[in-house]
Amino acid sequence: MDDFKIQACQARVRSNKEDAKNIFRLELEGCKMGIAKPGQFVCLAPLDHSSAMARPFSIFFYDMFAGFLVIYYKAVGKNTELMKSLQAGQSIKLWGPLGNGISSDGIPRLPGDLHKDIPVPEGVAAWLICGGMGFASLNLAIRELNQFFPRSVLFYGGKTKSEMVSLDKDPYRVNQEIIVATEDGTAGYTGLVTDLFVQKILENPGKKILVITCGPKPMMAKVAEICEGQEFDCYVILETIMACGIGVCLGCSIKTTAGMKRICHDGPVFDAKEVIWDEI
Amino acid sequence: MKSEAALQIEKRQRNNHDEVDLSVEIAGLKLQNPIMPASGCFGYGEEFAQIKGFDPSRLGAIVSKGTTLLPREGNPQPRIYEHKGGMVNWIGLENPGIDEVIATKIPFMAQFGVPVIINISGFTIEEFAHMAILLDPVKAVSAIEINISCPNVEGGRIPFGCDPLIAAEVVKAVREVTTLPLIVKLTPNVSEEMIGQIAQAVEIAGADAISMINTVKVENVGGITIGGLSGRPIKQTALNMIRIVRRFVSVPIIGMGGIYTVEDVVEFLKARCNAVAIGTANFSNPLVMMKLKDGLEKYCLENNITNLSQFHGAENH
Repeated sequence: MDDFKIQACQARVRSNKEDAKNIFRLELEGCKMGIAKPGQFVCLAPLDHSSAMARPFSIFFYDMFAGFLVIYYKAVGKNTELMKSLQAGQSIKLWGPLGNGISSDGIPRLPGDLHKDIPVPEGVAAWLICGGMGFASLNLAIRELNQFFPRSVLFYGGKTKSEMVSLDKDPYRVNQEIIVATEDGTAGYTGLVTDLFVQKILENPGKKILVITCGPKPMMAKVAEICEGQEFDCYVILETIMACGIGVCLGCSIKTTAGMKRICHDGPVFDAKEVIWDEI
Repeated sequence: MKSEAALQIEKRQRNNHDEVDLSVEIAGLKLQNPIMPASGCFGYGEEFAQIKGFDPSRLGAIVSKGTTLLPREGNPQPRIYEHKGGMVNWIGLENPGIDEVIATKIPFMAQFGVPVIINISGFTIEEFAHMAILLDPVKAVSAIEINISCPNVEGGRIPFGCDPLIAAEVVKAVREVTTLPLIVKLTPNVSEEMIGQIAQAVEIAGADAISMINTVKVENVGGITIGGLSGRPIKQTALNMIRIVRRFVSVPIIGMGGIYTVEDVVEFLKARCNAVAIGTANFSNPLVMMKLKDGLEKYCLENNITNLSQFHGAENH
């Protein structure tokens, strides 16, 4: 492309449909944004004209050559309610890719932040742990990591089966083991995805695991705590409301062990050791 | 047959005839157009410069995030909340401090060839003067914007900008240590009777221009105890206060508060603002300032306006 890292585009809706209870899949065309890394996101202009802040959404799938982008959203407020009525062919303003993602340049490396590359040693398994809407942030990571960790595993936790999307049926998925946990036992393991994570650690004693997690804050904090105890490398993808999404308003700045960081610009991927959970 | 040079001159004259002169003069600075970012909504330009289609060299000026003498981490979360069609913020002046701003941020801001305005926020009068002393010899700095909305820690934490005498003292202290043009940013969190007096006081104390309004104070919104409301819901407040201040001062006014469209820009210019600053609107459309610059040019062409001073007095009082 060119030297600009962020492209603003007028995207066209290809399809917009409910994939699970109140969770919608929006497929967009005309989003030529160059390379997007796992963990990066896009901002949509708010559809409600009385809204002031940009709307950040994780990149679920992106084909840079076709300019094809898939995002997921949960209808929770005025803007996401309006998004439900988007019809095929309608256009929507968006800009991205935003944030500091996980990069891979043929060597299995994960950047903790912009200036720090952490090599992933051989023989390490990648476990990706998500809860709720967190799956949308991990899909690109799955695709990226799959070439280096052929037997990586996705843990997908939710309250109940009807509120979870069928990731195994996704046309853009890579061959990946998915283990599901539901709190009410309607699918897979009965209980919290963090409990399932602990169970799998116990079943694989001595295994070196690299963890990437995205989901509700208590879930990620728990995953980070478990990883610290096990001395696993753990990366978290933080999500929050943002005003600008590009790093200028400082609305999403958080205190970390490495100083003040903007979730939107320095993150959203953080080394779990940097995150002070009470500051989020 | 005309010479090549004569044809060139003719062509240039023709082009000039088609073009609108959007330039304005503020505090002795010549701005190529009246559109600039509002402090705190643009960082130092580094992020916006990464967006395709955003060209900082097409702005009237670049305005820095509020700078303090020492680095500040700012406030804990939550810091922002969408409210009444605008947004409330409680950032707490997170910034790397004046030394870092001078060392790394100003050189970046200076590369676009447009005036660089550095916004300073002090918690004592001495802090304002100290920062002005440090900025004065920096060649790349075109003007200082004094944010008098911050709490005066030696004066019961009441903002400097809420009292005409104290506001004037800040401006006087800065005026004494620098020859740089001074823009004083007024807080709207005072009565309509008071805003005119404060504006007059800072003009007498040496302000070369006034920028207004800063955010409007709100309490207990979205987990934020005291925050500043910005965006569409404060536009009328901004215009009302600007019209009052216009009656009290003759220095240029940089108007801001809920500007989203070319019509908004025109409304502020008609209220006798000399330039405008765009804040919250940058968040829901990062290219909005480019759009407003082009849109204003088009508006002037269509309405036979060749100079922006023609807007002044176009409003019925």
